[in-house]
Amino acid sequence: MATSPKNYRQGGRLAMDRPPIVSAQEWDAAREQLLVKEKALTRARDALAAERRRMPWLAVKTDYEFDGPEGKASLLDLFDGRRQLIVYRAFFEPGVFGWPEHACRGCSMVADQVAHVAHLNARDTSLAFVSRAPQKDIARLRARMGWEMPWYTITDGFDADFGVDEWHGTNVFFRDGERVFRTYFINNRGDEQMGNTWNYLDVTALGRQEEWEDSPRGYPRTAPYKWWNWHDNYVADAAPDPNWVEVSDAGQAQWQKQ
Amino acid sequence: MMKHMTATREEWLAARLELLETEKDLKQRSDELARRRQELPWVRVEKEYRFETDDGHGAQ
Repeated sequence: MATSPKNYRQGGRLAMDRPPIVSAQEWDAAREQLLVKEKALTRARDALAAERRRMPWLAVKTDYEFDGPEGKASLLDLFDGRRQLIVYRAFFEPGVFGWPEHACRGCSMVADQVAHVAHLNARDTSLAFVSRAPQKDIARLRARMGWEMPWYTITDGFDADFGVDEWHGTNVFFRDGERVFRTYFINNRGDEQMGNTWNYLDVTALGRQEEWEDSPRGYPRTAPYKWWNWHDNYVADAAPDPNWVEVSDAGQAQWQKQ
Repeated sequence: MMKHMTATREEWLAARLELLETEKDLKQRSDELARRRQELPWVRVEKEYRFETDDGHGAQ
């Protein structure tokens, strides 16, 4: 169902109050002024992410079991060999609005925001969606909606233990060998920011793993931009392509001059 | 070497709830900034830009 903003038009003219129309110079000046606030907000967001990285970790001692496309899976399996794991609980099960054709509308909105996971994976981080629906329904939903992130079935008290039995939420875990820790939890309007690679990394224990970040000592860090790659071109543990290093250095020098 | 402090369930929850206040403050600042963006003046676009679409027709 498409909706158009026709309510805002009367006789072909905008019926709503709108800000003044100004010259390009005045517009630039107004934007420059607001840019100061934009940058202050970005720095406050970076500072919050630094605080998240200093949260204590909570050891996970229960062996949770999920159903996956290839059978039973443990919480460790959801890491898929990587060091960090982000788990979003999506409501898709009998009794939820939209069942069985669709997942909850809000959770579907979140699913539609999710970037290509190759970029997260390149920072040693896996993403998984989890729901109570059986795998066959999840497979059908993913095909219908074009969602490609891994999606597992909850079979036990995982949702209740991690605050997502009655409401959506994003849990973040860290793996040290076979030991798993819960490092953070985001829900309510916090979930609005989830989906893009940078915001996902900003809720993880290790952050973006870049040199400029305020992180505890010994945390992995590499130069910003250099680790970026096309989503179909990442090679595990490969050094950055020297040509890309040159191009991104030139780009960075350019915008820092501005 | 990475070292990190671990906590009991209660300590972890207390730390998270403390940080939740900062999360909410940031969200409010972000909403306020969005409101300021809406108040920005507009500038009229007077040039007629042309783009090409898949079927080759110019679109404005």
